[in-house]
Amino acid sequence: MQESPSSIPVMRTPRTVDLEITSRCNLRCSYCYFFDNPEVNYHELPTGDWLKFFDELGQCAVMDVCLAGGEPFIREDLPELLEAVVKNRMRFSILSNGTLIDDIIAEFITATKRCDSVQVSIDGSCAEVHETARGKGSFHKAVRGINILRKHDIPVTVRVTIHRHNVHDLENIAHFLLEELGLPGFSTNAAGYFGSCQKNASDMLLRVEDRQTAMETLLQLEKRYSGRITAQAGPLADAHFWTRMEKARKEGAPQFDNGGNLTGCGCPTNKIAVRSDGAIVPCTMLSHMELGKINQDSFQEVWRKNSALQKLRARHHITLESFEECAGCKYTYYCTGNCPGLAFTLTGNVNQPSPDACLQRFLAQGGKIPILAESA
Amino acid sequence: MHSKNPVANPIVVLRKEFDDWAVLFNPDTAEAVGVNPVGVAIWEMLDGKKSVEDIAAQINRDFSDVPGSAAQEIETFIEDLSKRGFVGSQLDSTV
Repeated sequence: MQESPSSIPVMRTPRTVDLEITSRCNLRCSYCYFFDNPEVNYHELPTGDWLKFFDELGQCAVMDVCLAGGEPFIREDLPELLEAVVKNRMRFSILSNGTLIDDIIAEFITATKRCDSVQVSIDGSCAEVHETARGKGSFHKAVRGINILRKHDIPVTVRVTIHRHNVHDLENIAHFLLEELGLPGFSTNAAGYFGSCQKNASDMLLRVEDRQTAMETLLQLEKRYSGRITAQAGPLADAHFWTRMEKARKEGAPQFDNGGNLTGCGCPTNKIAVRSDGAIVPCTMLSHMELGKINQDSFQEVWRKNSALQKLRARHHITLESFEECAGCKYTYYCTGNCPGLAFTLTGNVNQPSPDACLQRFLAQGGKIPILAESA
Repeated sequence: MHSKNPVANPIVVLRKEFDDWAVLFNPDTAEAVGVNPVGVAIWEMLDGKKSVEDIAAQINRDFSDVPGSAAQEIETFIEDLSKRGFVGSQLDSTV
């Protein structure tokens, strides 16, 4: 077993690899994490480079790849890339804006029998709301894309990214996606301080009151649509985790297993990412942190031995109490410091807790934990 | 005489994640089965040339403290993989 310096067991090779297969997109969404990153070279690799790399991933027994961008469906050679994924005994998922999906590519995807999901972004219940961040004409094309995928029996997931202009549309969005379109569920997140969103932060990012609204609304919707609305980050995830933290604090519960240290991200132990220019990075949210280049550096060597990656894995040894802003915080034993990507963009240092996820800060700014506020 | 020797489905990926843990993964079905080092050794012998008895004998030679019930357990393990479509049978026409 490969042991990282942090003694977290690290797999011999990653299970999953996130691939930004293109630097092109037909949309320019206001909160896009991908574009407008000054540290990224928006250069796109030719087909042959990806095919060669997929052979290496196959040799490393990687189980699945997530194709993102940019907009993956903009690549004319997408079928060829997918064939190489299949040939190398992997499965795949795709993150898309949905607008370029047609019957031909959908039929191709179905025929591969290897697609876990295509995720389409829908940010509003109607064109007016959806297009505030995603651009004119994008709503109906995205919905058409969803319908084409479903017609071809491709598992479709929908992601709703919450921002200042759709936070009051969440109830309508849930109705539209779950009742009108009849989707089994959708996931939520929030616009984060990455890429284009940095320059549009004042227009996009949720304020404390927006966050409060989002949490309360999503908790009600979650109850109404039992199990059909999920979140790994953003207001709904915050509502759940913060509620758990507050309950633990009130009861004087022992420290959470993963609490008290920068343990908020486990990704570096089982997955890694590649930028559109071929740079290997720990995560698409840490795209400045170049670990190597595909087809030049051994992928397995980078995974096992790259010192920056090992330091990132060792991040979980850093105690929250060592940070000035965490000193005296009553939630320290239950806090994980959250996303290192957001920690970097917000503080300039990956080895910091993310201010965005700080419950103490949220409360100090007037926020309330919604479930407790409701029962008070 | 015709005997059916087990053979690994070539589409199935053996993914050695840790020293003491591996995963057999069928990308066509997304089904995954966790296996220990003995399971890995068995999997690597499923070449269609060895019978279950051959494999059990080799495991007895390669591992220490192999229990008396090992042959039966190996057969059950291979049958289970066969039911999942991870293993097929190779027709052997040698006399």
